[in-house]
Amino acid sequence: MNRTESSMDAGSASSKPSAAAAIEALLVKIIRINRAMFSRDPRFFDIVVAAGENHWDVLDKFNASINAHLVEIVQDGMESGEYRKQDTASAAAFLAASLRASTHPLLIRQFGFRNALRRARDQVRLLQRALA
Amino acid sequence: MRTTTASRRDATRSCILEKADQLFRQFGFSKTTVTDIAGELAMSPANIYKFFPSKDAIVEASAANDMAKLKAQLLDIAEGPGSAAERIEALVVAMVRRYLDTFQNEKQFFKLIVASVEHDWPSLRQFRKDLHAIAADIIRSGIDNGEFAQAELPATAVTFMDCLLSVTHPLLLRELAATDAEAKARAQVAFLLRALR
Repeated sequence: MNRTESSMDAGSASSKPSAAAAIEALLVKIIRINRAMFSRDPRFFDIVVAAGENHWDVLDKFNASINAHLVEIVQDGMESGEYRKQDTASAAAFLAASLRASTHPLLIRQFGFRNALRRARDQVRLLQRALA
Repeated sequence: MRTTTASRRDATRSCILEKADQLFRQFGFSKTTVTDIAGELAMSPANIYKFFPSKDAIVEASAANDMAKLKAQLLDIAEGPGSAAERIEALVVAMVRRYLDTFQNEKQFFKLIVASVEHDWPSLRQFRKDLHAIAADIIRSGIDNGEFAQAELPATAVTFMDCLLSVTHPLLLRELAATDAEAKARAQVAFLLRALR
């Protein structure tokens, strides 16, 4: 039983995506959610503008949830050797700030949904070099 | 003779634009009418339409004018002294200061910037292209002097500037206004420069 559990763990560990792939997957998910929101509600742009202008909690919570994911990804990346050892929280914060073009609803819309995925991949490639 | 007529026309156009810009900053572009602009210049609205086909055209020209001034400032930095890394940082800080100043001190004009983003005006698209070209020139000079590793340009410059949008995009920067945006921008640039070395 223990051996089975170990081999399952090993199996899941070996199939765990790289940090770069995990970041890309997160961005794809965010871009798709945003595309759905904008097509569902034409007023979504105004709502997001107001949220930014008035510092709504919802915006902070949204950013905090992205940051939390990135902290985990950076931690995993350092453990696997994909990234150099560094302060996890600050590396994740820089990563989050750098990825705003691909996570902020207004920017995703401004640059177009089709372009958003390509831009996100380009960003991940550049940021790998900043973190390695 | 033709040159004189053209230059007189340019002068009148500039005069209209200057007055419109002043009114947009004072009262906001949505509350300023072509009649207001014409009245301030002691001319008829019909005369204004000889130079601009619509109020929207004046509004967009005003935004384009503002972006041209920022572009000139960024070009000065790009062509100025300092290492490539220092010039990239100075360029980003100049954008942060410019947008923060507009957001904090010229709320009405900031609304015009928001509109340019919302409707993705051609002038804004052109400014983005110009910005990417300026950043690419700085990075190229850094590659040439051995400061940066070889990189594909302008693609790397576009992505590099994309990674700085949290501090250089007017709408996002506004979310940072309460904090020390300039310090954040400098730290962000330092982090990203590692990717170029």
